[in-house]
Amino acid sequence: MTDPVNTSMKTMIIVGAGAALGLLFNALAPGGIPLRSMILPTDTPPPPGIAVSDDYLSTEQVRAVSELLTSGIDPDEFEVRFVIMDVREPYEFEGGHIPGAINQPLTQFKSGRPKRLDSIPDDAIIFVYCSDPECGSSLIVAEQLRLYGYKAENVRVFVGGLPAWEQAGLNLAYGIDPELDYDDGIEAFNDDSMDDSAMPGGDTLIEGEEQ
Amino acid sequence: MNPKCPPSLSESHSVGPLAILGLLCRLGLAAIFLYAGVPKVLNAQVFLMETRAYQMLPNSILPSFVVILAMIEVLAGALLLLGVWIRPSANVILGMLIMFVVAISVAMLRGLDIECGCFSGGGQKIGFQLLVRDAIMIAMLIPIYLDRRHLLALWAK
Repeated sequence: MTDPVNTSMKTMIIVGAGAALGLLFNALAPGGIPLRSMILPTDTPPPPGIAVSDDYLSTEQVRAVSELLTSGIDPDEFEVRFVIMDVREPYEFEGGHIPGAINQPLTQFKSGRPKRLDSIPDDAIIFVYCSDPECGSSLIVAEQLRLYGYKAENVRVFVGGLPAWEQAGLNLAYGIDPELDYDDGIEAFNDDSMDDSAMPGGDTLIEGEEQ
Repeated sequence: MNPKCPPSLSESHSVGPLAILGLLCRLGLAAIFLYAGVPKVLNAQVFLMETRAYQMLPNSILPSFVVILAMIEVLAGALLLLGVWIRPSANVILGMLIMFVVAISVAMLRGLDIECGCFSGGGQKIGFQLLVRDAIMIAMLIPIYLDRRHLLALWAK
């Protein structure tokens, strides 16, 4: 009835045609993505507990910039603008973050270029972090920032994230980021994340509430 | 059934429940895959982010993988809808569903708390219910494979 050889050949033709069409469409469509990875120094973040490689920021490097940002010196006085970017959700940020960091949640990138980026010059050096070496959001945001025109070598990921910072015995800052634009695509995602107590970093908030 | 009539012949002249079920499952899966695939094709950037969160493929091949996967979803959905190459299209969909089950299971076992990336803007976290949903879709393929009548199909074989 049905010739199995014929069927499997057609199956492969569909896959092949889909692949060709997909690549072609991506090349021609305005929303196409670059296929060559221009993204990360290495493919995957190191697993937790393993020393962070030189390609990623060390806690010490982040600490130096954090101190700079919290020193009270006007950032415009420096030749280069430094930014520490916490890409977790606002409620996670509120429950503890690296001092001097701004809150630029990953979710805002889903609806396009966040307006907040307007205030960050193209040649800024941006340190991106999230809740832990496995959270991945910092890597995604780093890639997004590069797509939006920030220099690849200036966008650095602090893979160790908040746990590495805390392990080093460094202090956290608390409270929300007053300059975060809640109207810029956060709330739609926020409700979901609030429900999920398993969210990494979510327990920080719960502890804060209990105390 | 008329005993004088060979079964295959009688089968081809009647529209049985299997034929109806096959048609419904075919159109249902076609709709699901088109609904899922079209936004991924149009906004590959978002799909790339969602797929990257699974941490299963190296960054070097991930962008190519997502643009190809999204288009295959659309193509297989469109072929099923039109009733062109039904069995091969069902094979492709089966392959994708198995891949999704594996990806979601692995991510769950690794304790990743990520979004499914199944439908655009779903904001749905991966979990057991998604495996159930994929299992239902795999079950929907069975009538498509069994049905030989191929109602409302342009070019079934």
